Amino acid sequence: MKKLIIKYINIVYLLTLVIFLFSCDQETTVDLGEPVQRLVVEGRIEWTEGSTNQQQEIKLSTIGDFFENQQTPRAVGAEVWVTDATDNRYDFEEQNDGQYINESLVQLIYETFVLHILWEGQEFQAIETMVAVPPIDNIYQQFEEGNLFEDEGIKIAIDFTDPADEENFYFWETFRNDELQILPDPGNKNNIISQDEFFNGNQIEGYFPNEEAVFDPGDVVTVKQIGLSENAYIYYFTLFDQAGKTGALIDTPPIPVRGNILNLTNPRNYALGYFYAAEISEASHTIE
Amino acid sequence: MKRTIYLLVFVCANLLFAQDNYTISGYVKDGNTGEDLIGATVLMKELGTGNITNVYGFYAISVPQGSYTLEVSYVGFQVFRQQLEVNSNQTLNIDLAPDTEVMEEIVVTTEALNKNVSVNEMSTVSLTSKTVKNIPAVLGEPDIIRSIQLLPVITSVGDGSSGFNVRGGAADQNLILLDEGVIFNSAHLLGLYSAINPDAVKDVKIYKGGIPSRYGGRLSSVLDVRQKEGNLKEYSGEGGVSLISARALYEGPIVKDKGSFMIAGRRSYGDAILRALGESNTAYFYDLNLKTNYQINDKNRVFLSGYFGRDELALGGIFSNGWGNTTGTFRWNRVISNRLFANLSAIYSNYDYSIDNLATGAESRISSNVITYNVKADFAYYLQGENNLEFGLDQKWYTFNPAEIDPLMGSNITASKLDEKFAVEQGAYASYHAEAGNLLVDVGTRFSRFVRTGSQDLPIYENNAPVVYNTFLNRYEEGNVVGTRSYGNGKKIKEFNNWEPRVGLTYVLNQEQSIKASYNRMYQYLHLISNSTSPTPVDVWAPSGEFIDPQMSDQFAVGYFRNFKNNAYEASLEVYYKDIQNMVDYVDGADIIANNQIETQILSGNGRSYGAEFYLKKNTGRLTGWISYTLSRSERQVKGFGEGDTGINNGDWYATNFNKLHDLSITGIYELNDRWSLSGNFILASGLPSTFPEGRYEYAGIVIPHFEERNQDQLPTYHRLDLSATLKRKPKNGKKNRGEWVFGLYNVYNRINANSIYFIEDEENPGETNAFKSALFGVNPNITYNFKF
Repeated sequence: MKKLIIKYINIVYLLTLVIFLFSCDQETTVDLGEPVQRLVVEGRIEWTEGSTNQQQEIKLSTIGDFFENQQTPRAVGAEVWVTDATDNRYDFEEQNDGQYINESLVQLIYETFVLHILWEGQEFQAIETMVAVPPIDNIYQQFEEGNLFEDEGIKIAIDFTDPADEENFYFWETFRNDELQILPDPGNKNNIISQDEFFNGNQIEGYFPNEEAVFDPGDVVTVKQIGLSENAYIYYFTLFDQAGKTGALIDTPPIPVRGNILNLTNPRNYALGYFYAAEISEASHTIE
Repeated sequence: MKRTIYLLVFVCANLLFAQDNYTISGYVKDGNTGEDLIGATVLMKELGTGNITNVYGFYAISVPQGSYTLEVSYVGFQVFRQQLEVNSNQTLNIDLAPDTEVMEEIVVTTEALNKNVSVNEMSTVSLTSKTVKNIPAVLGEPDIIRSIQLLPVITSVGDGSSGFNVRGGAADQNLILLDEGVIFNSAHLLGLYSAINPDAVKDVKIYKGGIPSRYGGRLSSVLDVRQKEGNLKEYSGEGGVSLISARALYEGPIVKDKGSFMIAGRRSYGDAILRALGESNTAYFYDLNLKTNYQINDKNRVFLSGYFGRDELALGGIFSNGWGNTTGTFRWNRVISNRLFANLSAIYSNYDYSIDNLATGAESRISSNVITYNVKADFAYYLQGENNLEFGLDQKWYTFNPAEIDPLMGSNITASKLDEKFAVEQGAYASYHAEAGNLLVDVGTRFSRFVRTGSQDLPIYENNAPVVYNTFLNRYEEGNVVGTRSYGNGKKIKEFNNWEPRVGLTYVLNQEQSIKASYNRMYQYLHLISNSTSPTPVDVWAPSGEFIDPQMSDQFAVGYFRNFKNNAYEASLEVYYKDIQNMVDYVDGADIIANNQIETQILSGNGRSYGAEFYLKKNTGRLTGWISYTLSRSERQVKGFGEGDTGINNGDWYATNFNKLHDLSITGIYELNDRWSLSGNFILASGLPSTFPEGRYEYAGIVIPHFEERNQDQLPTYHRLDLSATLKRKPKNGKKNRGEWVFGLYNVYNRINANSIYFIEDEENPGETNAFKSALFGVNPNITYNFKF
């Protein structure tokens, strides 16, 4: 598991700095000026085998002031629709808070979808082909001893079988009583997403889809296993990398995280975010 | 080739002309220990012609028949003078007597020399391990690479970074040689300390420019470290204990005045303290230096030296990581005739790392190494007066093993191995040193050849483009592989042939002033691919080949050198301009570890740097030290391939990670009395370039800082003061034992100098984003005990 290995490489640098105790981090302020104006698109088409009329959601927002600590401005008044390969149009209805939803989309594995957005006189577009995902074979709880970087406690583990004949990219979302569990942790890029380069075709046992989340008895934990395209994987990898800086000199340099959203009106005024189409597999477990 | 022929003709003419002369040659040694002295000045007083001893301590001067005063001088030693009646070739080995240990009075008897004015060399600095030990250091651990960073235009990307940057060059552009063996990673503990034990070191010299033609393979600098040979006269030892490590050295004769050995070791013990505190984690380093030599007769001497350094990090039961350099050098010095000196070397060098991942279910090991075998021959032919010719040949065989992955403890990780890469690097050089009145000239060239060989299977990319720009997604992507080309064992894949001219001029205005100029072109065939701010031990060394062109630099420098008050003060002002082509840079989001097609992750760009360096040094008296100030700029440009693709920062020039507009450092050592000495250094520098966010947005349940162009902002100004005091133990009559205590205070006024400023969402308070500055080394006291026996 390449990314797992690399995860610990990153950790060890932190470790060295911690060990030698000479490192100190202080909160500081710097003058940042006005935030730039960019549309942020979080677009997801998700399909579970055997289901119909799942609710699809496209979230639109913009960039906010870094130090203001308020919800970033929502992008309202947009016209949002998705077309499929046979040019069927599915309109997404605005929910006032930057969410646009649709429940009539019919998904098919390997079908190509196009997202269209008209917002403030600019037209945006993104194309993605739906990716398949293997099912979660087992879900269960496992107690993990703590160490310098991970909390001790009950964690959720899954087994799944990676298909041998294709390249697979995974993204896991973990929910506690329907609430998404995620922290801006440097380890995310090697934990909640993964590629199968070093375990292609193997059965993976006891994978923690979220190493940061510790659960209590009674919690209903749901894991969503999402099949990503390679492009989407690279996007999320970069996103989690940029969100999980440690301040150490081994950090990768800051860069803009570019996804697949194209501005047709003015290409230089690019939008952020990604539009993916994925098969998902869900499993739940109640912590004992 | 033509140029070589001209050179040969010139040399032959000189040889004929030189027939009426006689040559005085030999070695200059430390009279107490028998160590060869590098760079000692040997002068024929009446003629005003002289030479300096080479890196093996050898000199030769050709003079017409006559009677002369020979004068030999070296810093820290008494001047040697002898009347010579020259009427035949003579071998004259000279033992210099060290300045008497100055116990009663602090009159430093050494005559200051004007070498910096009169020698045709610029942009170089030498350090002795004594100076290194006198400079205040983090946790009292004397450190060569940290010490050289106090010199003009040698910087780093932050406290505790691996590697250093010279005149705006990248960290992989420094050739670090330990007894001629290449050291690939100069850092211990990820950059807290350098990999070289200062006790074992005789001489350190760094070339920032005007690099002689005998060196090649890196663009920006040469750090040439020579280990001690070992005391030829008697057994002795030294050592030290600091808060971080313990070190010891023992040396002595094998056969008195004929052969000797030196063995030195160092180990950090931070891990022992941690273990005592009940942690199951560990981080330590150790290194071992060995050297032995034997003088077969007056004409032949052989040396065997070795270095072994290693770091180990482990996080109890989850992970362990080790890396290190190993080098071994066999050398044979032969005085072929009075005029011709030869050195033959065979060198082995290995840099390797391994990472053990012990996480349940994924137990595995990644290992990687670079092995170099090197043979070389260097010759120095001494002509009339100061004129001489240096020439030589050099051949290296490289084997790169980028990564091998093996399962551990029966895990279900698939074993795999990336393609091994093979290359041969050859160099041939000739350099002529001439004196014409007040003008000293060094003119030479190096011819370098680099050949990538099989066996290897290389991918064929569509349109021969390993990296393509996706205009739809606006990013760089791996090129499409359309086929594979197989190369058999030893079969040539790609070849590069390059000339590297080097010129150095000195015009001596008078005993106290000179003007110097230099030009050098360098090629570099190995590239360190790193996508972090500072290199890490697990970065990948990639050789040039089908997809990666060699890097090239041209550097011009001009300087004015001036000494004052009978050479008590030396000052210099140098300006330089350096142009670099084909510097490698990674694409945004590059995946470099265990990647078999590293060429798909990199772009190539150009660099330029220019600046002025001012250096003032006080050599004698109770107070010694130096002030160095640099005004410089270091920039990079990465253009796009074409349509829609704008490169990095729209293809504009932008500041490198190590660009410092102003950089001032002051180092002073004050001898208070015969027991106490005080030293201090102060550093004031512009903040390094940084990238601050243009706002933030919410995505996938977390908050992401949004960045646009690289390095458009700046960290706060860096400044720091360090002090230390050394107390020598009272000398006991007749006893050799000497000890000294060093008390230090690093970062006296506890300045929190930002190594970086980073922007993250608070894990405890989702939705709240903050900026943090990360700093290493607040105020910290230290104590070290050094001893000799």
